[in-house]
Amino acid sequence: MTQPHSQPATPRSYYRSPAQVMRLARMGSAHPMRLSFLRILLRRMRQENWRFERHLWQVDARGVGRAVYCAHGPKRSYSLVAFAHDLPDHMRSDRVIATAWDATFALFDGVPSRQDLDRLQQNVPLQEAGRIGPRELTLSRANRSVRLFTHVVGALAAGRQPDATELQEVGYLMRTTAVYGAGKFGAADRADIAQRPEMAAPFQAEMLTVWLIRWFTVDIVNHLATQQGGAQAVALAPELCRQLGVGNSTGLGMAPFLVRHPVLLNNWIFAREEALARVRALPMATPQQLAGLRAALADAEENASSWRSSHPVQVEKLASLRADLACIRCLSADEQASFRINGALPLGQLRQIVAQHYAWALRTDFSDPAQMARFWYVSEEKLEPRLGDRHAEPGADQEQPLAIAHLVQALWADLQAQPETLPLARFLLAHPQHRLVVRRVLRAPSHPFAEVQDNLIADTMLPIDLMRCKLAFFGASHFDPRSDKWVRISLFRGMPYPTDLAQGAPA
Amino acid sequence: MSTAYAAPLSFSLTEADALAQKAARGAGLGWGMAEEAGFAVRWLCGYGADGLGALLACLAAQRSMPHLAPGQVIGQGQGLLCPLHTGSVLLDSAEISDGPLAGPLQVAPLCQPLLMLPFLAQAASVLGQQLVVAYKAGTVALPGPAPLPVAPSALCGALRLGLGAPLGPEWRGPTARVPQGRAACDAATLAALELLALKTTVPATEASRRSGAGAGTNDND
Repeated sequence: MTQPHSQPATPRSYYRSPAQVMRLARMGSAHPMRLSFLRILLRRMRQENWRFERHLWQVDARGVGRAVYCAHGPKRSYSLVAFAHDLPDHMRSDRVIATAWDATFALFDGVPSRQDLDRLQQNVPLQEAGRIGPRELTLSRANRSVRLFTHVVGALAAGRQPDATELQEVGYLMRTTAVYGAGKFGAADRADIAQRPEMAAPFQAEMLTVWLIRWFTVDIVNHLATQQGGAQAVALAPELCRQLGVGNSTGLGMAPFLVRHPVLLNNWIFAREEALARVRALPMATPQQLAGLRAALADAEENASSWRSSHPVQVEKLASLRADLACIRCLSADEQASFRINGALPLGQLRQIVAQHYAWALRTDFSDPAQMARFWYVSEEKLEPRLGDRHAEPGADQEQPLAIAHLVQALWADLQAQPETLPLARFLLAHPQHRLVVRRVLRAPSHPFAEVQDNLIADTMLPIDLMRCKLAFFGASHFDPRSDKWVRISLFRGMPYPTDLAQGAPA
Repeated sequence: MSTAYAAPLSFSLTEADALAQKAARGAGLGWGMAEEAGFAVRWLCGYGADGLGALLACLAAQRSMPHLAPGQVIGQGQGLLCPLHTGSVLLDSAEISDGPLAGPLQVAPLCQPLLMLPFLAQAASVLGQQLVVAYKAGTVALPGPAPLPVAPSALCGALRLGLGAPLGPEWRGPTARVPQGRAACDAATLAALELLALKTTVPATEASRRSGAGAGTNDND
């Protein structure tokens, strides 16, 4: 998506600049929208008349067993394989380091045979400690919202519907604590499925997984209520089901993703900004379009009013996000294609690119200890990204290369003494330490939204801003920040279930 | 990655790439060169070759840095030429009109020469012309369909590079065809690479455990 405007040209004045858009504070205020990945998934499945079925349900009275949910498209089928477990409360942790969960899942490419299910049963419940293969597209797990889950099962078993306010308050019966795709733990590579139209947009396999998990969460409470209440039990009413999404608990692990995938980040933001510019350039809107906008705004306001946090900084942030709303009354990437470094480039031109696209980075004063306060690293114990205090903790010698502004300044310093005409290849041969940042710099002219234009190791940096930007692109609603590094969200809340979609409900 | 499974272990190319990057960094390469190691291993595994094994052997050996002289690449320092640095500088230089690939090139003996082939194949895609590698007992033209038509051991000793026939459109440009497949390696190789990868991590302290990933509260809610 490097060619800017292939449609009839929209005047430049309607576009926002990367300097305006690519700031952490703004990225941390992102909202779900029409281009969000889960909405893309639902639109396609509705347009193509996908069929859905619960193919298998083998769950015992304690809620332990396995289930299979199939989504049948025009060419292919995908199946969520779910394993339901009986997890003691003391083992329930949302941290990625947990070793047991209330339910574990894999998305299977096709419809699994009994042998496939048996193989998956040996591995999926182990999550990171198991292995999946090229027939699996994702691996994930979920924990119950204990409070809501117990309340809902209890009410249904007693023959009444649960309290709608309670449902509203939590918003989900289960929350996922990881959804792994793209080749992780032996799964199919992204390249194996990227050519399929239904998998071309980002994270479609992951979104499908979560959407089918939502179906499973309703089935499992209904099942347990029947086991407890017998003939007296009732099923959860459809209007209450609709209010429920799937929760997701996300920590620091997600934050570095956008920095590590600059081309992808560029393409996501570029698509959003292009859409926004085209809308802003419209000379007039029809009454229907205006009504649509007002409805979307009302939804956004209602959504924002339901976010909860007890973390002081985030309480303030949520209030200002609501205030923002009150005031207004191509997405995938072939990262390999831009991987190669063109070493024929003369250093004079490289310097120009840095000066033009990284002025924001060159401005940062790294002699100020506050600008160097943090460092990103991977913990030996958990193999997860962490943020350390450079001036107080050991480990900065194993710093991850996420402080792009700092890396750019180091490159800039070494470029100064070099001849204008020297080919980049020669410079990199002598200075291999700059290779990573040079690769990024070379992408900048064709990918203006590839860089977060803030210092990612400053003491004021809030990782949650990065997470929120990514989650909004997923289509997450209902942000409940638990701290500046940890957020609970909800996916698919208020949206149709697979069974609704078949009956023509709007996505 | 779990080591609980018996050999041969099967991985996605994404996993092989990620492990290669971490191991290369753990062995002391810069981050950018570690990315090149990931690229090379992914490419070799896609071609059905033992990319992970070659990388481990390469990282364990003492290697010399490439020095470009007219018509030849020679080593600077002790040991055989590093295939990652050599491959990278040749690929970087592909579009330099009087660069090293413009004419016949003599390359000093390489450590794990297999690891240089992905760079040459990509350079050929950039040039739109095959690169022909001549070794003691024959030649191999890159890029071509999988599997690789040469045994890794055959590439030992000095190599000569030269331009060959023009490439068809499917092999040209930045989106040229790269075979997909699965990566494989034995348990010992995996364990050794994981050990190197672990060197990129930081041990926990009391303070880091406390601050963690930010979740301090109970999840039974």
